[in-house]
Amino acid sequence: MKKRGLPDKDMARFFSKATQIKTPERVVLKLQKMIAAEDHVAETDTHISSGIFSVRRQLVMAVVLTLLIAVPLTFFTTKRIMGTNTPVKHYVVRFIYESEDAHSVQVVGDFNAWNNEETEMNRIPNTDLWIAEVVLTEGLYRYGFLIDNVQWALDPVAKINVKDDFGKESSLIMLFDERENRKNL
Amino acid sequence: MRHNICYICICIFVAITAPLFAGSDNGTDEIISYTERLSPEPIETDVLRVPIQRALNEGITQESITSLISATMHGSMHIEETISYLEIITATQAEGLPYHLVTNTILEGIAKGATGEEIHESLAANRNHIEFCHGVAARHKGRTGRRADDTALLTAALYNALHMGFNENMLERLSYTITEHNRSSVFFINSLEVLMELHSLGVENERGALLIDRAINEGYRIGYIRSFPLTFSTQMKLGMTQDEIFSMLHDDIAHLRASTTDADNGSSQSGNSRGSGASDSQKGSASHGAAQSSGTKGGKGNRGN
Repeated sequence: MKKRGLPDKDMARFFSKATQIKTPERVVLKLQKMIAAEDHVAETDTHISSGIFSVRRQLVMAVVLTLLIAVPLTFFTTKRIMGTNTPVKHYVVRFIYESEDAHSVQVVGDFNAWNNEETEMNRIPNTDLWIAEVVLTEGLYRYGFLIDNVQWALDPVAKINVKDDFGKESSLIMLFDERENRKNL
Repeated sequence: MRHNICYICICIFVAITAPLFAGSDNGTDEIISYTERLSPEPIETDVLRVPIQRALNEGITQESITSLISATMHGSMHIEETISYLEIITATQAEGLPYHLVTNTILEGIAKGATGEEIHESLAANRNHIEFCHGVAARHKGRTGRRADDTALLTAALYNALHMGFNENMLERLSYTITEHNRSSVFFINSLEVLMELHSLGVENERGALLIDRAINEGYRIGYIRSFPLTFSTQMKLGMTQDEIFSMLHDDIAHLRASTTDADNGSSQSGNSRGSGASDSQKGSASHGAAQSSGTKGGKGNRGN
């Protein structure tokens, strides 16, 4: 903010002139005029600068306030949708099935929503082995092999086979990191 | 001036949060258009709009809904069937139960050619199971920062165990023992995995559960318990009967426990490498050694190592 009143150099100039002028009334008059002019300039500057400052301050306040509301809201909503913010571990699971006569083999299970078009197994050339790799996250997955789109088969190397509610069985794979929280194991 | 500031505030707020609010509406439209694309002939999809919106509002993922609709369309099921499944999973979620288990049962049933009636019967029968499993799982402490994941995992493990013929009493007892010994839900999941492996090897459920229960009660760690299936499969191949294997394992547990108690009392025998003050970790490694040695009968002399 600009200091109100006359600057030092103007005062010096005024007094150097004033010493030459003999009439005190004229000196006083001139002094009053100069002070009035300076006051006007100072008031105008103050008004403009405080106006700019006010707009800028309010803008900053508006952005800060909005972010204060929006950021936590976004964070909590995202957390609610995603369930957790813990990094998800991935496991590459290789399924192998041996069949000499099959024309097509699919691995179907919880991980591909039991969609028989999702995970086609490929035959390893010159062998009877069919292979597929699937990237899965932690969890328990029931699955089975669908041979030629007709016949269901269990995984011969699965350690666990579970009865389903429809008179058949499914193999079960359990993927979880047992190394964590070792002290409680 | 103040009005302008309010206007700017509202604009920024709307711009930031718009994707969140817009997402739910777009979800329904996306699923509806996906359903229309799936159908070979035009169908009345408007009837699906309300159940889909309700499911999304309850927090069911778009992926689950689309996979369910896709499966029912491929299975040439009536749209009413689809709506009833959507309502079932929505109700399950609304009650705070894991709807994935229900969705997976429906999808498995459709994939295996089950009729709508069979699927509904299965869902009705499983309802109490899911409630029980979720209730038991919620009582166990999970890994740090992963409580929800571990509860879901344990619920799924218990659900599968029930499908293998383990009754609620057995699982409750195991749950109680694990809680009593301050073990985590991961320990429980491991134990259930062992139980299910034993079942797949032809071991009687009740006896398998009792064996694990006893091992936990005696303070053994999961490394020892996890060796049971291998012991059974190896010994059965060698011609031992289940009774003999059970007897051998119970002897192992008792013998190791006695040795540990002796060691704790400071009366360790000469040559016992564990010595005094057998800590939990030492006991675990000792038990693991026993598990390995139990593969052959002659290995019992190496227990203390």
